[in-house]
Amino acid sequence: MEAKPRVLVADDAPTVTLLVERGLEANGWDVVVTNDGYEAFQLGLDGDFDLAFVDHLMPSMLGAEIVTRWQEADVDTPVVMLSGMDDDETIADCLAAGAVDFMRKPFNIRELVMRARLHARRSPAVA
Amino acid sequence: MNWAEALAWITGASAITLSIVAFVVKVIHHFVLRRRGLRRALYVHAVGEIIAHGAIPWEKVSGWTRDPVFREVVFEYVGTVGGKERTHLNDLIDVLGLREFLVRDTRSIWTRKRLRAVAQLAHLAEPALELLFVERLRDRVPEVRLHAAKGLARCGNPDVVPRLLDMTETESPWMVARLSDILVAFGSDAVPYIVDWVREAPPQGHRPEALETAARTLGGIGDRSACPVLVELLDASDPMVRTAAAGALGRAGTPDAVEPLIDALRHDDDWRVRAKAASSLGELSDPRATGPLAEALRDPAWRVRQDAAAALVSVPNGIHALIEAVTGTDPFARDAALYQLGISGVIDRARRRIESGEDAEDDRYLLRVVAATEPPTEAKAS
Repeated sequence: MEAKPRVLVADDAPTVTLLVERGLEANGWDVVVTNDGYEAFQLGLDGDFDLAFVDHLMPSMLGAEIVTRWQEADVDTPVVMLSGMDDDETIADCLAAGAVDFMRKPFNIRELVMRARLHARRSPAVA
Repeated sequence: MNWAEALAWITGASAITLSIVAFVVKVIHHFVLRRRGLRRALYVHAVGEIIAHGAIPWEKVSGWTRDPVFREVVFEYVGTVGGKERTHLNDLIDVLGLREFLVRDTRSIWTRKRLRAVAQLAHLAEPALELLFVERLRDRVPEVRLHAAKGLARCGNPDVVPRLLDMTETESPWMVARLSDILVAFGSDAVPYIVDWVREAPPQGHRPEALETAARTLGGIGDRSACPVLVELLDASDPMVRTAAAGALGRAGTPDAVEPLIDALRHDDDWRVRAKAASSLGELSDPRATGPLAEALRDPAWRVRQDAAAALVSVPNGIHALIEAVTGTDPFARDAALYQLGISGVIDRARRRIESGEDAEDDRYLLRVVAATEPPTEAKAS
């Protein structure tokens, strides 16, 4: 049996990680959660993820910096940024850094799952 | 026992007593925080599950509503999710009567309680709460007033815009800056209200800081219907108001703003106004601005020269004006033009085109001019 597609969820707010984890797991994803920016960066380097949801404002490392450093290290995991900051500059910075998409908080879990399917290298089969 | 021994004894006893009290307080505080952290973790998981499953386990939840940590977690989720999950959350808030709890807390004598209640209610963005937010705009604590203003902005009714602008007449600079951000969040709906507020000044006139905020807000919104009033503000007596208006016209200006901005660039006494006028002319990219911006490369203020050079990159034929300035005799203009041609990548692009054989005469001319201005290397000099 083929392994489930893996997704990394990095956000310092446990309210966000919990809901995203529940939503993605219910839709057939294998979810790895972290609440720290640097840990997310390390996990991304080592782990073989099909997709990553990364919050922009996190302790120890900004989301945009994580994306930039992954790119420098040739990590080609597609990254969807999450943020409560929705000013044009933040969004442009994150996309310029290499993120494939940007989702504003508050977000809709169904929409998040659909975007995961859209951007991931591998997606779970539709039930 | 003499008096010195007595004093030493009292000092020692006091120190020991204070140390014991401090230790006990620290231990209690540690356990209170730990308990709070544990409760928070429990609520985060419980509310998350409730939202994910869309069902409320009554026998457990009804006992939690009095706990402020529970209410804090619920409202954190309000700021996190939308759609179907948000509907579940609203049901939870309704059924548990959390809204009523918070409304009561907004009138508490305890600042922290009031602040928390207003901040949490602001997340709900419900029109029914507008009156309460308006009432809290008169709170004695600035942070409470600020969250009330945020709540009003989230409700989205622009009728409250003049009231928020009135606050900028009396608030501190920190609050005024936050209020400007809040006003920008109303978007284009707020523009007619801001325009009327600026024009319908009280007999003593608006405070300059308030007018400056209004101009910055109009620039932040970027709606072109604000152009006429911003042009009027270019004639304000306060230079900071004129600076804010000149800057705002870059985003909210129409072609009608070009001539007034050129006038400000040429004749305003204050270099900050001239610098902002130069930047805004660059943003408007109107060909009428090319000549005046080239003249501004000889402005006595370096900032105006730099901003004019930066603006010339964006206006039609501006690059030619910069190249002319590099070959000119004015050292200020030459420096500003060279710097801008360098940082905007114009020189690098010309070099690349020459290397790839796609060059035009302009590119070769530009590089000849740049080479002529470069200081000789040590080898050449020797």
